[in-house]
Amino acid sequence: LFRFVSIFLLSLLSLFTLELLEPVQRIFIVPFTGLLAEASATLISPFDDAVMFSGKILRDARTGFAVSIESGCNGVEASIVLFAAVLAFPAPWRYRLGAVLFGVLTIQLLNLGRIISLYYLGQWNLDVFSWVHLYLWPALIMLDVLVVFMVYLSYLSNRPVEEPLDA
Amino acid sequence: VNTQPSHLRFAGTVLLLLVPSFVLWMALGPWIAGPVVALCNLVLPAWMPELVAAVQLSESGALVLTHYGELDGKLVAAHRAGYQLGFPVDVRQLSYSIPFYAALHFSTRQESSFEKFSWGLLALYLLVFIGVICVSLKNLMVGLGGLFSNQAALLVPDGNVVAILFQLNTLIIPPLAPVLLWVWQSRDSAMLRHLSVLKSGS
Repeated sequence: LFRFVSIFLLSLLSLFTLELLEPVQRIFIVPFTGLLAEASATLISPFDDAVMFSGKILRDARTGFAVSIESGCNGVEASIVLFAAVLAFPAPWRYRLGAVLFGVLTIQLLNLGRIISLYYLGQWNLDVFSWVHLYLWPALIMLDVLVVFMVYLSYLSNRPVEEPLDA
Repeated sequence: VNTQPSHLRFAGTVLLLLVPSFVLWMALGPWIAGPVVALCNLVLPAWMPELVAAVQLSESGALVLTHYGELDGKLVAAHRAGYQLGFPVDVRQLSYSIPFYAALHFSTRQESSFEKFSWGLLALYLLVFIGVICVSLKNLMVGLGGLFSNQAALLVPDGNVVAILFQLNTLIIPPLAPVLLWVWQSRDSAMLRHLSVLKSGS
């Protein structure tokens, strides 16, 4: 357990600090956040032709309402937490890779739900938008990370015994 | 044994418990923030006596009052400006860890549940207090600029450290701390024992 906690915290802090560096923000985080805005607009557009995006901003052409996807809203921090947990737990590397890919996918799918829900909540009621944005969604995203990690541990415990965990 | 349905049941129970937990947390807003604000009012003015005059409860948040005000676009002493510059801190942005933890905790059957819950609350309270301090440091750094970094008082963290502490305490700790606490306190629960791999990995 000590080994798990040590590796987890070290990886978490290292990756989180790395994420905040300006070159990482410029080369990876900002373009990735722009992709999220584009993906959200693509998902919304069949049902709502007023939606448009520019960079990391999602805008309603009719009302002028816009949401900007900032740090903490792009799912990167949640992905880092999952990555650190998977990295810290001893398992064959292909299982770890699978867990990270599957986990990041579920986090980002849920995150698209978060962005789209906030886009409409904000147009309806700004107080509700702030409440759901600041307090509820972060908890839901972390719950997603927890469930994915538990499913991963279940998978590891039920897998055919072919390799030791300390791979 | 396929344990995935139990994980989904667990997630569903947590989602259900989130509703009353958040309702109660919202209703208790000022009572939850009060002790944290009182503690900050002891620490911040003592740590930075040249900058911070007091920390007050403002609805369910904190208001960090400084010894400065603004006059003609410049920072001057509060008595010259005629008012004190204050920086609000949304305590709820840090304390939502409490209803999240409550939902996780009460979705799991375990021994000495209320005793564990009390210890968990205490730990989260400490983290909320640290979070308010870190957010206040960031606000003071951004709002007061050179006055913050050049003060002759006690240790003042470097700007980059303040930035990282701020991000860590707003983005990572509030949602993650309840999960870590829950895992630690529930490690002997039937649900986590079911993940037999945990035993082999620990």
